[in-house]
Amino acid sequence: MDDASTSFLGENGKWHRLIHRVRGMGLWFELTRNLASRDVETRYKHSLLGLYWAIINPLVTAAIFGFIFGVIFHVSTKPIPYVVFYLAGLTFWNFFANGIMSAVGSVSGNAALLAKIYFPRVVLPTASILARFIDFLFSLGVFIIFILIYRVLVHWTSLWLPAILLIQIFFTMGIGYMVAALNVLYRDMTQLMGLLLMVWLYFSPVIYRLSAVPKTLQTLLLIDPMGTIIEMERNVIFTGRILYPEYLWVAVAWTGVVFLGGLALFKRVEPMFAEVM
Amino acid sequence: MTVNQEPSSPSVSGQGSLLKTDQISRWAWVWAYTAIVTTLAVVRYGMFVSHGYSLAGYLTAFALILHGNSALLASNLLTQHIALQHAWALWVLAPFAKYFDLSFLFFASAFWVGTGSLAIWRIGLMLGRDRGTIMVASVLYLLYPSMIAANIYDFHLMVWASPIIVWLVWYALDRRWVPFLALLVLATGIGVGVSGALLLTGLGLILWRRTVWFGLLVGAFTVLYWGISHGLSWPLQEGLRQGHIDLRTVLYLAWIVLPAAIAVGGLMLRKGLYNVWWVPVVALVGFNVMQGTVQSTSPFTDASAWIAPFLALIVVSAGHFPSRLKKLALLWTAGWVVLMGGYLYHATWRPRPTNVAELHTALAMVPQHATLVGQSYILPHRRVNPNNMPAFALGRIVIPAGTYVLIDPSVWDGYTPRTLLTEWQTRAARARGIHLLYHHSGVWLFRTTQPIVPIHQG
Repeated sequence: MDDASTSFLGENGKWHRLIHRVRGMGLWFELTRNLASRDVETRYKHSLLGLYWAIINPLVTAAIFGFIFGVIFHVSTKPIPYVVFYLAGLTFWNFFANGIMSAVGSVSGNAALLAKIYFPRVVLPTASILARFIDFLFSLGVFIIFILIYRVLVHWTSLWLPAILLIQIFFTMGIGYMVAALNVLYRDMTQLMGLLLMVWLYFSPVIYRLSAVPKTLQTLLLIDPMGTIIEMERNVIFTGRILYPEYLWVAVAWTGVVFLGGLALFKRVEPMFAEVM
Repeated sequence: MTVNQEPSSPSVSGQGSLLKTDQISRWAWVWAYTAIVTTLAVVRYGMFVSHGYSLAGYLTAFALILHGNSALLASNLLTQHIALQHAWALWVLAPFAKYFDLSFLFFASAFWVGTGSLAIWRIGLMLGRDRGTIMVASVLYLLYPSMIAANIYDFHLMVWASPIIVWLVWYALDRRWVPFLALLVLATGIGVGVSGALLLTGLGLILWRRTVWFGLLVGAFTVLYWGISHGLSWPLQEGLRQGHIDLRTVLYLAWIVLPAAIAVGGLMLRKGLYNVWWVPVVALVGFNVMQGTVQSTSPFTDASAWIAPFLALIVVSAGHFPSRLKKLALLWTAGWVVLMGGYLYHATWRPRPTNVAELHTALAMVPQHATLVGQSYILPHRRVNPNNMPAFALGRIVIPAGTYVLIDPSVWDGYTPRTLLTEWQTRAARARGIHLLYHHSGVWLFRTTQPIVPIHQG
């Protein structure tokens, strides 16, 4: 009996545990998906324009940046029309920034839910980021329409976009887990992240070309994973090649640290949620 | 099970082994090490701050393999020392380096080395050591100068043997024959040189008593592997014959041999700290000193990197490791890292090229299919390209007509005699058999218009 329970296929065997784990993961995923759709629904339920807000925001921001940098300061984005250039950067940046801002309050804003039912708490920030990913897909649609309107040449290397987006999703989730956990302990995180993301935006090649800044500064901007990710996303669409390929693995490595570090921090703070909230 | 049911066990809730907080943290540390080392390696690469000879050799080897010219590995000046290793991992790595960029090599190397700390944690936990002791062992392993320098400042496949050592010890301790054997077979991928690391590991495992059979297996496997791949020859004879002492050897004696001797002396006084893992350390240090080559007695190359896993094993295997000694070990490591920083500041940072833009301009003028003779810190910037030749070839072989030569005589790459570069600079200025293409800020790019015989160096 003992042998059977410890064997590979036994009740407590590795195979059995693996099946349970996969089933558990399935439940997590289902819950995350449901929470994400609920998030999107409640966000736009009583609003007049609904999901159009997901499109209006990047459009207005791109128009403002386009007017300031393109019309007033005559910053060149050639051969890409400046509206498309800014929209490209902002569409991907907004997914990151909105994802984090949604994740910040995802745990602290669901105190009632946490008190009622048991579920892995990490699902909450994950669902928030997934909800912003749905918004992002709408923005991406608008971005594609603008590419078609301006007849901008798109390269086949755009097929790499899902892989780069995957890195961005993991990076966003890592920071999301960190700030969601810390926000339970210190409610300043929302204000702090708002400020930090504003500074981060200007220190990333979102609204300017990387090639336009001095070489030393380029290195610093590329060490920031978001800098590399945004640059790669724009490169694969418009240039047909990654201009700074050596920084790809730097971004991957830092994404790994941020994701696992964020998850570890979340798991460490998780037992304190009940006491603090 | 529904979502509102409290889980009966962690596995049922979907919280697999990877999601245990401790394990996530350990993996996060591995990734943090990877990220720091990869970033430093890439930044250094971008600034041309390296000798990069090994990296240039590996990139050329990958290109030769991908072009179906692997037979040329043994005759190419940049790859012949790599070809001697018979490392089958080159065939696996080549497409990755080509299609995922050379920074994949930095990433993979740092990541694989970093995973060794996971094995150290497992060994420590199985032996019942406290977290502090295991942490000291991990730090000793990850920040050991030879290990970190070999990773940050170049690409050395042989450093990959270091994590193999600790993983082998872990599998032996856990009595897992299948992964143990699989890892032994995988170890052969990095080349014949790994035999040294395997033999030392086997020796340690035999002396450890609880893993005698694993040690014997490693010994038998290594002898068999060595016999098949190297015809039972002794690859280090040349080094033993060369035997000379230079500044690097003196540094090696001061930084590696002396502290080891002091530590061994300390062991005589505190016998509780003695364990079998000192034997491979002493054997390896002794062997490197006896060999007396620049490579073997450098404190910063892969030849000494294998000491790191054995040092970590000494710490986790010690019955009792007093907290004062733990602090001393951390201080020792920190001191070494500072010394390493100082050394590298003087050796590579201060004399770094300041004409990076000019180097890029010159490199852009060389067609991809053309043969380029260049200093070792320039060649890796052609990425995976088979048409590379080291600058010291200018003094050794006849340079065919149509060859591009890119040199900066003000920068020493660690391999090309300065006099040779100056002579070629003079030759370029006189334009004898040479068509000067670019000259700016000390960078010379020219194409030979007729075969050029080597200039003999005094």
